[in-house]
Amino acid sequence: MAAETLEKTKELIRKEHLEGLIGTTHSLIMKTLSSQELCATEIFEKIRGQNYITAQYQVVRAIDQLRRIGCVRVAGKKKTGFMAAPYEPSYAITETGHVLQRELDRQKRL
Amino acid sequence: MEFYGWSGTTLRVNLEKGTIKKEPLKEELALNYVGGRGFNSKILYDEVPQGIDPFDPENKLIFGTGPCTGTIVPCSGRWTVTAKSPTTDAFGDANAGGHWGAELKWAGYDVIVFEGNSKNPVYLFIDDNNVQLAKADDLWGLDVWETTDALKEKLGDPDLEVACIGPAGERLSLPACVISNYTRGAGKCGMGAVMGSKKLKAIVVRGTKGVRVAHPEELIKVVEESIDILKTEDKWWFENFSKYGTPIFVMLFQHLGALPTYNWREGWFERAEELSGELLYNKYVKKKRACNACVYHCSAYCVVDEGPYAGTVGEGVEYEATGGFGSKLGNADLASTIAAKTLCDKLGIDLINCTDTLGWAMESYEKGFLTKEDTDGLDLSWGNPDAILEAIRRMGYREGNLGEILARGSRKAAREKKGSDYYSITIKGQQMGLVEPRPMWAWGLGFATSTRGGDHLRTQPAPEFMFTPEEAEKFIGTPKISDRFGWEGKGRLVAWCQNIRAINDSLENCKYFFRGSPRLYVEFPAKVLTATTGYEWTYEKVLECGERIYNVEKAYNVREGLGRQDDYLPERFYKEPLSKGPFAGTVMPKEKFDLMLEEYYKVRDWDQKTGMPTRRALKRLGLEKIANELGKVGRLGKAE
Repeated sequence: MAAETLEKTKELIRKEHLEGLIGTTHSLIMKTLSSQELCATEIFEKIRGQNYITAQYQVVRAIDQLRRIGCVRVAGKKKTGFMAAPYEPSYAITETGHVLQRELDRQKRL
Repeated sequence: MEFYGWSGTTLRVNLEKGTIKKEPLKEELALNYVGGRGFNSKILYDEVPQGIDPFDPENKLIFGTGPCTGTIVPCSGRWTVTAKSPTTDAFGDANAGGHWGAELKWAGYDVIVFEGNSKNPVYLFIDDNNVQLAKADDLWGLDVWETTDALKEKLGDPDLEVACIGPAGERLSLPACVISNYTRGAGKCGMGAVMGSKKLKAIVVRGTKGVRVAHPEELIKVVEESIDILKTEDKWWFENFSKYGTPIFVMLFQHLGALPTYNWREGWFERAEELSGELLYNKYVKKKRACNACVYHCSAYCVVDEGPYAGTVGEGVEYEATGGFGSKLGNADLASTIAAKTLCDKLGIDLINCTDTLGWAMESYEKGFLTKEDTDGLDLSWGNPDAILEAIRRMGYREGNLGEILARGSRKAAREKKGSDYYSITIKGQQMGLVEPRPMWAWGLGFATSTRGGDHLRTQPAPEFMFTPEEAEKFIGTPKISDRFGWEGKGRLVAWCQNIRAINDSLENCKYFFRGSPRLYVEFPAKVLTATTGYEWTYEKVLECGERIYNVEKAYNVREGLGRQDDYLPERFYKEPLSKGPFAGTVMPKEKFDLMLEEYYKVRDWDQKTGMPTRRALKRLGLEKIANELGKVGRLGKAE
């Protein structure tokens, strides 16, 4: 089952033009989501300084890539102050995300 | 020779003799310099002699459009004006959006070259094939909005496109710019002052011919694909930038510690939320507007309904207005920033030059370098919105002591107020765009090595904070560029961005079209050029053209005597750590800056000691003639 999910995810990665672009940043994000739902600003605060990550937008972008391949989903929204007015979406890791996470632990880049 | 994309005709207007000639476009120029900025830069290098005064009749004022201008290519409605700059006394150009550039293409012209200086005020009227100079005595003295209205009425067509100068340009005030569509300023480098020195009040255009495209079906496909990439691969950016426009940067840069505050003393403003793009949108924006062929509609029509600035209307209230007249001057009154922007538009003043010059003036006033006598009694304390508006008015009209001081721009004014030059935040004499470089090192290097002086748009290294490290590794060659406080890879990133941005400006395509999606950087320019012009373009060829354009501009500056010493940031950024906000304590260490600069010169194959281009670099780009010229005057770099 996990192997089938992984193959489907790899196919999605190709379809979304993300080959070679899913790596440590995405793994770090999914690890922070493994126990709680968080928004981009909160994730950034937890992983800043690792893997050269120094800006919230880098996290916003990587989360969006994970969402496109079905590894995270929008779970709600929170007001965090990243921007002045809008609420930020919060995210949860999906079953597919757990599978990808394990694969990224095995090989660093997909 | 017939072209697709390019109109194929250059207009050459001699303002001294009153003559107008039409010249065919040369294929060699088209294929090596692409259009717009590239064409203008090459013409400036070839035709404007070294060492002249920027207001000398020998200086030329060149307006250029790109091969995609006037087509459906997204965000391709821009145009560039180029001349030797009175702000930097070196290479100068400025770029604007709106609809004027597209109208010029539809009239059948890629470039207009103005030569000589007219004795009396004139305007140029281009009505497709009919081109004539006309007297502008009745327009001289009118502001930009009055001039635009008067010309539309006089010529009987409300849809005419007008680019003109206001009182600031007429008076050779160095912050003067050229404005089209009432509010679209070609701001940098004092181009409005050069236009004023030529007594050229306006260029009015009516074009009805359209643009011939080589492969229309293919172009539609490429355009649809690229918009789809933007909407899916850069979703957050597309949605938020479309809604809020550049004012969204107030809070974005605040969170990065990169919001210039109190004349670049800090990168964090305690009242930033009062200036946010979200607040502007919710309180003042009545309608969204767009440049020609834009997919974002980032511009906004604003109305102030109440308070001391009630009745103010304005369009294109950008981050450079809300942040520039806001945090940079310690002012949290958002409505006053709209009023200040509108006043600048009417007077024909560039926002960046204006706000940096005012920042210098306010800090100099605080430190005692400027006295009440200098300001004619005006209180230039931080955060005084009424004083800001009055100072802008005097800058535009060169009125009184303060008007004379401000009209010189911060660098030249600072030279006359001993000790205040430290507070003039300029590079090569040019005021900087609104990004604090201490926590954004690639931006710092980009500012410093910009060919038109301190400028964020020449490089705009958005990948530093918008690419993921994985994308950075794949497309730039190292993930290290994602570390905003790291030096490694920054030389490579900045050179790459400068080459790409040179192509943005030569296509006359807005830089906001590609920000976060690497695919757009890599695929878009070659695909649209191929479909539009019918010639085969590749990513490599496009990058080479960008590099060639950058080297020509660099050669112009080197010929004027500029070198490595001019590729540095103002001392403040090396000496003063930020003291507030999330990145308090951050400074740009000079030894790290030197490492970035040396990596940058190495990537460019320029002399690391002098910063001058080498024969090898120029020859590789087909610029051997320039290498010979620089060699003759002893301004050629040595290869490692």
